[in-house]
Amino acid sequence: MTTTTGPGAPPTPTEFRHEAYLYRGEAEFLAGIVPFVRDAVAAAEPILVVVPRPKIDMLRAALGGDAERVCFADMAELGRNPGRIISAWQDFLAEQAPDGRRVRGIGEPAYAGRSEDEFVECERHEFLLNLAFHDSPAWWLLCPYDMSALDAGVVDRSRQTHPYVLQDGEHRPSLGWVGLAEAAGQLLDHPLPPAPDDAAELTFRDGGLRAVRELVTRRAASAGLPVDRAGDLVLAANEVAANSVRHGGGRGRLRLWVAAHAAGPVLVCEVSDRGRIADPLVGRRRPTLVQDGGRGMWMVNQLCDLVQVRTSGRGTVVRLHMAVD
Amino acid sequence: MGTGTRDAVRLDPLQPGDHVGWIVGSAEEYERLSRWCLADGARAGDKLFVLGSRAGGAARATHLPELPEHTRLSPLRSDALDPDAMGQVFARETAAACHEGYRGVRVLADMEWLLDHPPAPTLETLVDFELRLGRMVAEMGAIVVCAYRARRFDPGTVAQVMCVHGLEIGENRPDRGFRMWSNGQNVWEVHGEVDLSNAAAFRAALETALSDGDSPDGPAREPNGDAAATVRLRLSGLRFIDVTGMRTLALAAQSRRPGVRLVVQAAPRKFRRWWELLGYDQDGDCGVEIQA
Repeated sequence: MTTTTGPGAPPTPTEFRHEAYLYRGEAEFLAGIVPFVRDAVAAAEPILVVVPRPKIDMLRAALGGDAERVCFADMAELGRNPGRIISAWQDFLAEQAPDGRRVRGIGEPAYAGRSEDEFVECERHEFLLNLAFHDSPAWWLLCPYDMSALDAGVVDRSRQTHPYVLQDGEHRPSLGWVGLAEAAGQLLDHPLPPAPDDAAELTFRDGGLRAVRELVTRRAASAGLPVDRAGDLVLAANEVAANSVRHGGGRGRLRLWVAAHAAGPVLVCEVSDRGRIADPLVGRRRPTLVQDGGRGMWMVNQLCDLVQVRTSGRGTVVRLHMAVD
Repeated sequence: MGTGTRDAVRLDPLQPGDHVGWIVGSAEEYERLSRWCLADGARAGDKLFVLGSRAGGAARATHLPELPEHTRLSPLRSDALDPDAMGQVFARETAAACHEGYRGVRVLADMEWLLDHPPAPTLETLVDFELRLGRMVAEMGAIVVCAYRARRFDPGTVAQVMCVHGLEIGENRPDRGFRMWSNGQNVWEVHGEVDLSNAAAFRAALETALSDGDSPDGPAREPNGDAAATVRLRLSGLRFIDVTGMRTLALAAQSRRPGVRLVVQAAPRKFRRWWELLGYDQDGDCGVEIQA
């Protein structure tokens, strides 16, 4: 059994193939994903499937014995913050294909139930995958989008962030694909909603990181964040603020507020400064021990539920979100 | 100014093993706190020494305190930034002092004497010197007060050198963030908060602690005489450490001499979690042993 049947059947990828799979409901999900997984298993290609937990259970049942040849991870955990997903794929490639052998992946970051902010960051992540892996050894990543459960806008924009689309059994180049160069303007500058007027605020400069940590600690406690997660947010805020001191003109502004989301309140911690971040992949690739920069932002992505980075000639804004569970 | 008196009154008596940092803001402050320090030593039965510069720091100091009759104030000299040589002097004087019936020795060191020996010491040299000195002080139960006159030293450097004194006195003593010192039992205590403001001192202090493992005669040597030394860091008092601080620890561990073990003890839970998230716990990555 193979998926390569339609007129637009893909050749064996010779580079990173990033493809959206537009489906409706569980039956079509399985109809597209199961053969894709079976092809990988038959070709002895390592495969990692990162989808929400209920779909993992569904796939295991459908795959039977083949499921043992597949790695699974819960997207709601691994990819709760989409900023973590690229480094997870990098780890997978490094572990499973150090020899450059072909691998496959299935990643469904944009699953129903995400917040508006999260969908925006999912879209950004999907675009940045193209940048992160454009010169990597060949591998094939299929990204399911459930048209029966997602906003039409989320589905439409998946055509912009994926060079290929699988729909109705046919693999085709995506007509909406924006290309690598267009990205900065179109997809990376999505404006953030304004901060509320009553946000707690502090300006800081060299030597003021302790005050940053103290304000975050106090605000996290009053918002009811559990102590471990409050500690994580303190470290994350410290790292972003340290970047302001080192690279962002020597000073910055911290703001904190609680935002109401459908899934519950979220503590938002924002650091802004006059600097500009040149690398759109900042914090998304796991740094090596000897590598000097980028470690702080990578850690920030591991610690927070959602991280939003916006940078331009006017300066940089980084927002850290922690759900108050 | 009333604060001075209050400061002196508030100071607890110094205890054997105390290695005390002091950034001296003014001549008045030097006189007042020197007097307190030596009087406190006289009360406790310490044999008092003053280490000063050739320019007459010691002579100046001898005029300071109004001390009880039986107290002797001995000038002490050292010609180089050599903690081992200084330690030998302290050990000899401690043995003599105890023999004479004193509790131990107390040294008031006017660090201007460093400037007698150009070139001016770097942050790394000073941290290394003070950390080693502090360890010897802890081991022999001496008391050493290191007075750095603010106007004679680079403020950023001296502020970070305070981090490797277990205690600090004086008017000019904001919280330094972290402190690292030897507890006298072959364990380095790290307390407080490591961040951008003191990263350089933390790096220098770790290098000193780990190079300790290099010394065949160092206390880091195993009790059975095994050449494989163990360097222990106790982090129970660590309130915060940033990503750069953790990487500094990982890099220092990675570049340590073969055969030297680096054991982290009593690490706070969040440190252990962050360490794992950074991947530094993986086998063979940097070789720090983390103990709860």
